[in-house]
Amino acid sequence: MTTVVRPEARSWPVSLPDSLGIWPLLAALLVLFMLPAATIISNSVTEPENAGLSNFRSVLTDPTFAIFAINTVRTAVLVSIVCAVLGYVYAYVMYRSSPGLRAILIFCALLPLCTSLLVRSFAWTVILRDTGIVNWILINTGVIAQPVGMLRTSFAVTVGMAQILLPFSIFPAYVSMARFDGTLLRASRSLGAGPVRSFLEVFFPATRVGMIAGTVLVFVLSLGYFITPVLLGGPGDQPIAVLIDAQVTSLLDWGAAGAMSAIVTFFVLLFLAIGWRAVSRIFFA
Amino acid sequence: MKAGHFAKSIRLENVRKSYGSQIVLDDLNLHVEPGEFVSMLGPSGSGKTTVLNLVAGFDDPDAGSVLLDGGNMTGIAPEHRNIGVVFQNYSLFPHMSVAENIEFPLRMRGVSKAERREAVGKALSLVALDGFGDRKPEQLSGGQQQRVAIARAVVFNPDVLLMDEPLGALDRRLRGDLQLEIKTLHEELGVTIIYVTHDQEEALSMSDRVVVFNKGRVEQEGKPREVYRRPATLFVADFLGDSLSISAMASGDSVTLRELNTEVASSGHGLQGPVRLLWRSDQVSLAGANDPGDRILTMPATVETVAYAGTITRMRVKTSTGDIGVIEAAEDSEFAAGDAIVLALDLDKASLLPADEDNR
Repeated sequence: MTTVVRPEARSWPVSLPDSLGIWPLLAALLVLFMLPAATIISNSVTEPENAGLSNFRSVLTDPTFAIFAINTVRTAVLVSIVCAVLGYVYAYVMYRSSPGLRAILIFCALLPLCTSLLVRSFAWTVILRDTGIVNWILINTGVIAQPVGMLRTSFAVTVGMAQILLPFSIFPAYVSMARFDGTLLRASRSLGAGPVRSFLEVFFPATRVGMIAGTVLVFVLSLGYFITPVLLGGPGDQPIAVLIDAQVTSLLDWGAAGAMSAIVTFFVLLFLAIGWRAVSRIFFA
Repeated sequence: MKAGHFAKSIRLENVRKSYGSQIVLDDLNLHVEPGEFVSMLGPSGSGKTTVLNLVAGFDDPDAGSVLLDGGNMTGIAPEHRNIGVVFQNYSLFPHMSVAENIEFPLRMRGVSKAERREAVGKALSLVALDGFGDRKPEQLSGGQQQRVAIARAVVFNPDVLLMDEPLGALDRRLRGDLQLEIKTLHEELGVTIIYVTHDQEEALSMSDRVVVFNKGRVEQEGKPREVYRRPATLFVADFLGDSLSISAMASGDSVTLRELNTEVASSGHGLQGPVRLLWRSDQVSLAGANDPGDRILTMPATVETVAYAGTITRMRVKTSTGDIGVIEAAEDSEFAAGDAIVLALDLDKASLLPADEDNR
């Protein structure tokens, strides 16, 4: 008789690695990411000495911090909405495509991830500037007479960030669609719902979780963006990351920088926790 | 069988359907009476599910027509057909409660909330799930989910109810229970039912009529007993249970067993050339000491395999003519492989079939 070894029931959404192969990776992550992050955040209570919560008190009552925080959240919300809509539509087109076309669409969706963030953001400055291709087309088609200033606006930041973050909303949405049981649509049609109602009442509710998971990722990633808003945005689009950078490089105030970092990290973790059910259903189900 | 007031007939006329180069339905004709329970039986790929898809409107025939009470349905979208469908994998909407699932077709038809609630209550008690309305499908067992799916498919009084291997995903015991429930439901509602299955017992026990499919064609149709006892082809005989058949030769008005040089039958049903005489495994008995009589053919055989099946013992035997078949013996018989036995074959009970080379 053979003994059947069954995997133990998971009590955590992510099971612990069962081979040693992943430990070097975890060690690298610890040294290269967790330690620096922890050091920065610990500065919030140790710089200057015996700072306690004074850094947090001054940061949270600082109107400048409030302005940058609002900039950050506004940009993140705009980018999240754009990515949620475009990502879901793109995923739906992928879902309805033939396998060949789908492969091309997947490639195109992944392309932004394969190029440097800096290069892409610069590319947008070329595209969106007064003498760029967008203005050139608009002028030559007679839509506008004078170039529209698109660079250094919220529009440019939203477009630039949405392009980069779009894959994070496309793939979770696509995963939920690929898992969708197509006979549910047949059932819905046979029960009297037309194609549009079937989509709205059956397909969308069943695949919504992918859109939510993607949006959580995009929102959280948007909160920490730096280069794209700096290159494409105006003064009113600058995020907390810029303020943190200024604290460290111009003011040498490591304590305030640490407190700001801690606050951002706290909110990132909070939003991840809120959206975790959706994220884990897509990535760990 | 009593036809409900909303039961309608279905007719398929000269229907052809191909997917790519594969012909799935080849000039198919089929008629289902209002209120009739018809099972479509056949191996996978024989075209039975395609018939269901054409009737439901998920697909249109390449040629020919599908008629509902005489009206052509070609080109009419599924949502405008008023046909209930029950799928093998239940296909309940996971984000809706049981009650929301059942009221879905009524909501699509603009039925008022109060009427919906009443209809859902009735439908739930019809499938013995009173009080389950607030649960989510995932909280129910497979059998319960399928009962919800059935309730959802009948709550809007469909003209026809299509069932696509509805019990295929359930274990054997549960399948038996649900078979009886579906049969009761059919009697109560009088709805026309087209039932697809590859389980011959299910088809025989539930239906008014059985249609056996093979390679996109109707191989045989008739009442369950007719199809079982008088299979028209070896394919039908094989698909609907065990049997023993021996080869013979039909010429003129007589059928002869060549090896025994015995004339065994007079009318050859118009068949000429090689034929087979077939007995269902329960129609074959073992020759006793008594004189068998002149309509009983005795034939030596060897036991090849013995399988105990609870109420009977099933044996694969090889006759002296070299034919192999399956017969039934008493539950307590103690035969073993290699035993020599003598079979008693009642010539009046034999079915005469064309010897179909394709299926041997």
